[in-house]
Amino acid sequence: MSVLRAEALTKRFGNTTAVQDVSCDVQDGEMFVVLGHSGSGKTTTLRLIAGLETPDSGDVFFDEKRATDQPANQRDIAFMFQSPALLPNRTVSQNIAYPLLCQDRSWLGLLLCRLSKDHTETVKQWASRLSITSLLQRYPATLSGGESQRVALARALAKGSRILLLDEPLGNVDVRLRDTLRKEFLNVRNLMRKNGGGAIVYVTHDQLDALMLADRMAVMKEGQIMQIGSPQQIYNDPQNLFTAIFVGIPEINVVPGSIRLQTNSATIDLLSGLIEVELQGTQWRTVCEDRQTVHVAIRPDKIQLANEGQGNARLLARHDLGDHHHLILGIGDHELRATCVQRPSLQVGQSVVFSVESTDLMVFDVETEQRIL
Amino acid sequence: MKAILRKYVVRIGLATFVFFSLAPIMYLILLAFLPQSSFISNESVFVELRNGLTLKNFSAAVTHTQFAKRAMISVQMTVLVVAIIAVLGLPAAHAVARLPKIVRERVAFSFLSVRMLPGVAICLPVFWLFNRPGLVPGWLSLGFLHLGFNLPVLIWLSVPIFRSVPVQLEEAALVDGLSRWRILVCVVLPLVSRRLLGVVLIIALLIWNESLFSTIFRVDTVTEVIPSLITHRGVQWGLVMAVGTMVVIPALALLCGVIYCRWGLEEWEH
Amino acid sequence: MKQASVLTIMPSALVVLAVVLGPFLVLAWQSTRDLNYFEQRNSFVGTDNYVRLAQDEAFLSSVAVTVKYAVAASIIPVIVGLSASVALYSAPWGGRIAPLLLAPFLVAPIVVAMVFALLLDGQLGLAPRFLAALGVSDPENIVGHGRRVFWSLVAIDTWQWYGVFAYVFYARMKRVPLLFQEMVVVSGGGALRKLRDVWIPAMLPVVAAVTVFKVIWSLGDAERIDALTAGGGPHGAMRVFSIWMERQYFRYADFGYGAAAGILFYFIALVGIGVFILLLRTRRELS
Repeated sequence: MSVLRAEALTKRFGNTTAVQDVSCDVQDGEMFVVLGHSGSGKTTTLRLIAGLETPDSGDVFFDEKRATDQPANQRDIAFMFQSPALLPNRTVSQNIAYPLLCQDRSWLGLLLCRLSKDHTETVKQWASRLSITSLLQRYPATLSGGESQRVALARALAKGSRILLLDEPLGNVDVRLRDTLRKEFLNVRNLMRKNGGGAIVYVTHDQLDALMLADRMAVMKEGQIMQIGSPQQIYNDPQNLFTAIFVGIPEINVVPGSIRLQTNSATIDLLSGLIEVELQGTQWRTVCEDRQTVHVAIRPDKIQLANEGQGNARLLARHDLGDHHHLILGIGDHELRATCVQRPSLQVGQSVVFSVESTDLMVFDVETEQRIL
Repeated sequence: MKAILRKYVVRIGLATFVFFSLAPIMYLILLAFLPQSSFISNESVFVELRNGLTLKNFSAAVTHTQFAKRAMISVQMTVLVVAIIAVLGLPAAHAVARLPKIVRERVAFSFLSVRMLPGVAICLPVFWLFNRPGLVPGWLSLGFLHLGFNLPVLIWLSVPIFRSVPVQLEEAALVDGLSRWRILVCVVLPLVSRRLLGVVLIIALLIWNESLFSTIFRVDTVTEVIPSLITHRGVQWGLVMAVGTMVVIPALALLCGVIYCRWGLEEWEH
Repeated sequence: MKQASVLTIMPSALVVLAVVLGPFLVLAWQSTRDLNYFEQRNSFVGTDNYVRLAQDEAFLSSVAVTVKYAVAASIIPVIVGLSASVALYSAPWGGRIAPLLLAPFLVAPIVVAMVFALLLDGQLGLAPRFLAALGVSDPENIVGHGRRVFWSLVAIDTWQWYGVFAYVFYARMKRVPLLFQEMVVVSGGGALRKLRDVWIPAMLPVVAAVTVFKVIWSLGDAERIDALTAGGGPHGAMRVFSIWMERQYFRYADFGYGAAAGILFYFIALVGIGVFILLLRTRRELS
């Protein structure tokens, strides 16, 4: 069941189009990650969902009910900003309880800021889940970046909304803490699934977040969605060049290629003929033309070092990362990134032979940058 | 719907405020061009307008009140005092800006509290002790009093400006071996010169506009003449308005300059 | 470093001390003497002057009027300034209009007094005509009648100052990060919440500081009042302290008495302001 749906959202600021015709569908219990560079429109999309911006066109649906005209403070959402925005003259526990306070619409409640017993319990629960119980009586000015971020997260969670919107929540957090917090997010999602459902929309520029956390993810570029799918799909089956390049560490290799069609077979010439790969299957018949130039992408782990193969290269560099290496192979004028498991015998400067399977090649049209094969 | 209503309410509100602020000034300038006779008649201003405008008030002002001479005196007084205030006060404000918080607030407040003293309370003893017996010329006492009263204002207004400069810049200069004086002049001042200029101009304005002390010390400033135009026989309104306009014009020119160049106004956006 | 600071502040402090505190000390000295220029008296009388002051109704009422005026002429312009700043903030082009509101401040007080004297004058002024058209009775010399003088003067002071305050408040409002306002919104809060938790904490310090500044300023400010009321207004209704003291000196030449009053006034004002600031400090810590 679709818990949150965006349909053809468009938002312009002056002359720039921040979000262009963005649509997505978030299912119950799903962690949906929106991945993109700065300025790709991902934050704006999130803000449109939250109601902090109104779309120029398009709609937002919560549980299939149209919510586009609903003011942000009436939506069943919780939002975590990139910077914590903690009220400086209140304690951590008062900050966490803030959304609960806001629910009290009475005049007296407005003036006094009373916390009911239930509220205090909720605050304590979330504080313990995020390991910040020791901070409860402190003031925001005394907290570190990571601590403030966790308090902001606790505040968003304490609200108890169905939809949790997170805007780069790990932005100010140091690397070791990021792993812990990522586990927390997964716990939160699991909790959500147990307690009546909901969904999390997580905006980030860090592909690790996406790959590790997402049930499904969307890749955005310049205001448009390039592809939506599970992390596996995005990684293994990118539909356009941008997605292929964006997702994957180390970055995918992109080389120019040209297709040669014969009567019953086809070959791709890579790097002006330095590598020739015969194409398998029959798909190429419908999609390719003879002498068509294309972009060909190969994941670094698909470049297999062997005794026999299509490619002859020189090892230019070797980075050791514990149990595997990142290699830079030089062939012609080009450099290819490759990975392999630990092989201490490799010397920089030696010549290596590698092979690539045709099934591992991803072929993209030069103009549209869409995936052909 | 609500949004549109709000938009118009805001527009009307702002228009009212602007009108409220500018109307009396327009009135002043307008009246300066009316002949003296129209002040005696019972007709409203707008009817009188049709009878024609005149420059007579201005020419009378210049001749009868020796306006040119007065202007010179006012300008000289203003420039001299402002220069001294700036030279003394800016380094002081800079030093105060770098004091620890509580000390700084107390010092700044002490400077400001001087302003609580009714100016009269200070200038009267000075007058009787030094000026009436003719020991000291009027303008000297006046200058000193302007100095004493406006220096604290300069300091109070400049401290926030100096505080807006990151202390790291000064510390870096200190490590590089510059003396405090050079830090102030070569590092800090260039950064805040525009805003400080705004403050200095405010002080200059206060001195230019001041009239009470001038009257007591019998110094012939531009403003001092105005009370003397109030005679038993009635007020020479046309003349008063003309003089008033001429006093106000430099100030208005200043405002235009400020709006155009945004001098000093950024300070308040600190 | 500290010595250097003190050295730079010294000249200014000395100047202020000399120019302002010097006469103040003279006043202190004079206040303990029975000093009368015309009658050529000069003898030490200790605290006699002060005792006499405490019973002098004219003095006490002048202090009262001064304080009342200073407070009114601070609160009202601040309120009007706040409203103007809200209006400025609500309009995207507010920043371009804000400097226009500073214009009244630039006009010399004496000129302001003259313009408004004319405006309010019984025979020639526009204001009485306007009020008469509205049906207000007895509109003639507004500046002539007790209570009305007070409020006319407050109104004029408001005219001059509200724009300055509006500008300062507006600049402060612009610096409140949008982030916090949005945070309240997504937490479920409405406009009142925003007011209580974002705006009031942000604006309170500025408003307080500005009010204190204006009170201090108004206590010592007499030019306008003097010019408009030609020495205190009808029955001395607006005989603020400055004017009272001037009379002591110039008309009665009773220096000792006037001096004692000056000293007393300063300390009353100092205590008052100090108390106010202390109150503000404790309140801020509590909120």
